[in-house]
Amino acid sequence: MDKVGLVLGIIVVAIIAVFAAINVSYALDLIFFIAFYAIASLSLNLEYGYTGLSNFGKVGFIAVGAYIAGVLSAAFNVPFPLCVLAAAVAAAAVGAFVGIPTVKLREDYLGMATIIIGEMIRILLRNTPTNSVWGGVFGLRGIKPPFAFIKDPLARQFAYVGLSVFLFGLVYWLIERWGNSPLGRVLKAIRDDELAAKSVGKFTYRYKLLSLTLGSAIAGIAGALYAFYFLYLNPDTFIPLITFMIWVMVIIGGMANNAGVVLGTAIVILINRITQIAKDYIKLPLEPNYFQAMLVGLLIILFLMFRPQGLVPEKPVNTPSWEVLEKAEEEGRAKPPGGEEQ
Amino acid sequence: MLKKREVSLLLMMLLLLQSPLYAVSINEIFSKVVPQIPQIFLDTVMLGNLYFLIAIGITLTFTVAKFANFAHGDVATVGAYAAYLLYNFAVIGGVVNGLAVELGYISTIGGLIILSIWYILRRRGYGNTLLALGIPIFLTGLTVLYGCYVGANLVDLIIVAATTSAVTSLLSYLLVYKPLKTRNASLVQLMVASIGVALFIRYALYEMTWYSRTYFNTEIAYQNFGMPMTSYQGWFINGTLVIVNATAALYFMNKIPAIKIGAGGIKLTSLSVEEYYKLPPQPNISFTDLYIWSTITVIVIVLGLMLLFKKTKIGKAWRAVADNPILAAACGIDVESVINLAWLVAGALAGIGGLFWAIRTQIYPELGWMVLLNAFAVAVLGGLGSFWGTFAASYILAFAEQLGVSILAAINPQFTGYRFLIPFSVFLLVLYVKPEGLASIKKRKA
Repeated sequence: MDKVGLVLGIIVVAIIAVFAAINVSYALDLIFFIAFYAIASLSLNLEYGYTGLSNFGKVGFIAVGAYIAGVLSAAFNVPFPLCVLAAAVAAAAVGAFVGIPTVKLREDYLGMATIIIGEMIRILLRNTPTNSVWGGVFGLRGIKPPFAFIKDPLARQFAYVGLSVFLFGLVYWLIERWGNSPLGRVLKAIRDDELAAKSVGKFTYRYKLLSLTLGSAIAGIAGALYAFYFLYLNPDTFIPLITFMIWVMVIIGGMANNAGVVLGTAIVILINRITQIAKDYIKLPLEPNYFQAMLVGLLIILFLMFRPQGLVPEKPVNTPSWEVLEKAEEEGRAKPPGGEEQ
Repeated sequence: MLKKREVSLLLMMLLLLQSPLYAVSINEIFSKVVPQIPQIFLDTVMLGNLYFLIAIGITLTFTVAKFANFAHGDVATVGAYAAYLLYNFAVIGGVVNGLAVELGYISTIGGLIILSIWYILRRRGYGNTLLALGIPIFLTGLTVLYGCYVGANLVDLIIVAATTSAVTSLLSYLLVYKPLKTRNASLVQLMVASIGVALFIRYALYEMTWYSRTYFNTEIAYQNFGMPMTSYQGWFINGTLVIVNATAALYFMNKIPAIKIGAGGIKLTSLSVEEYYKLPPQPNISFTDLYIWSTITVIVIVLGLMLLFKKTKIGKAWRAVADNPILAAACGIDVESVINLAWLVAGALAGIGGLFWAIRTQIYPELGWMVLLNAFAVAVLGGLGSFWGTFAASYILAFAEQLGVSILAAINPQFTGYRFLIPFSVFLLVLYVKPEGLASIKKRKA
């Protein structure tokens, strides 16, 4: 990570430490939110940062994951790991359903289709019968907590937040691996010049579809985590604004840089929390929630205009061959990697 | 011809759509839906007009800017709010509102100043934007002053909605999309930026409407527009259509205005109260002023745009820029002013559409956003960037929605909440079967 990222990262960790010193439960809540949004924004990073796909319906995929996990747990007593798996599979299926017709068209179509699917899912969930498990506008209740055997509420919260942070680490590791593998290189090639990627024999359609499906599956995991944290789901929490919060996180952090995206997530969440705390102490003729949303819009425009690469810019692919090249450059020999035989 | 895969997909969708029908007997649904068909057609015309007004703006900006503008709906909301404020708060309790008068004078004089700067600078080549900005600001000021001193009527409201939205739309282009384009932003980045603009406008409106009590003594989020509407009811009696002014009947006027349309031609008559109450209780059709106004507006706009595109120089330049901007610039066309005009016209139409949507339902800051998603479905069905495609698609989609809603209501009245799903499913169906939209049909013949 470069200097800007390092300094900002230290500031973020320090603020979280201050919160933890004041109130442990609040800090745990904050850490859960950062982990949840980080998983979602990492999945968006896979789609937008690496592949250049415009997914404007991220919240819809999160909602699918959350509701599938919630219904399985509330109605069928399915254990937690299976719920998370089912959520990922369901969200991936929705992602593939949207992706199959739209990925081969211009980027506009995918953008419109995903934003419409996101709203469609919310409207469908709102109109489910209120006397069923789904709950309609009253919301879904009765999700079984995964750590019900721990009696102390703080310890239970600690265990669950620890689990989410572990899952976040897993997702981070996975996307980092994918990004530095041949798959990641193909995705970046598609983002930079799709025609060139096609002309060297890559099935760009399949790779784009794969990227969208994997991203949706990860968003589904994030949704499942959300469901088991609150144990209550309401369709009206899955509004399009959440999608654009996630977009801001990716744009601020830096596209195709996972560490940067996590940093962006932490910054956006901390700004959100701090303004909410500050509203009790400072009287402004503004409603802070709406003002935050205005800020989200403004940040998107300003970052795209003045720092499109984000706070932490993208780095070259970290693969063994790259290391060999770097080493060769250090030693002053311009030798291609693996070409010793000639 | 459709491919095999497309045919199978269509059949699957048809089967899926029919599945709720098997819950209730089909005859029952037919018996409920068939009497409503005249009403469905009337509603289709109205809803199609409103869809057209919003979707045509998306199409027009798409022709020159080549990206889907997600801020279009919120630009429409701005116009609707401007008209709402002028209609309800320019004159409060018989006293002219000082703030409105000030605003009117400021924008009149500001528009004049911008126009005079344009007059001075026009030789130097960067005056076109100022001309495009100055005229709507000046017009806004004049209409606000007219509304304050004479009284706002519908034409006044349409002008003020159109000009405010036009200014908003052009400013969004000048401040956001144009700098981004000069920085070589990708298509996705432009779309994200337009979403940023949309969020900014929408939540700025939320801020203003939420804290409006201090200025207007009332909270202006989620309000009815407050425009009185005449409603008409029609009956088919012995082959003649009798249309009665139902609002007049409510006031027990002695002579209720009525129109009889039948074999004997069109007759303007009037009914007495007794005759009115002898009519069957359920009218066959019912409509309001809004149906007439929106239809007239759409006809005027379609004719105007046709004249603009076919007869005027700037319209021809517009089509050239839409086809190939580099070639157009090489031919000596002022591409910048054409693009400015496109954003102005798109914004103006959005404002008019937003005003009619607000009159039809309620006015609230998310109005434009809710309409925008339907308008996207219309624009894609029309084949992004095609004028007549959009025109046809708005009425096709409106018909699908109205028919779908009456079928859903016939099955179970609770199902009408799924109304939003109809345009969205049409959108997905179009993407699966024919992503080029209706525009591809015309091309194949040529």
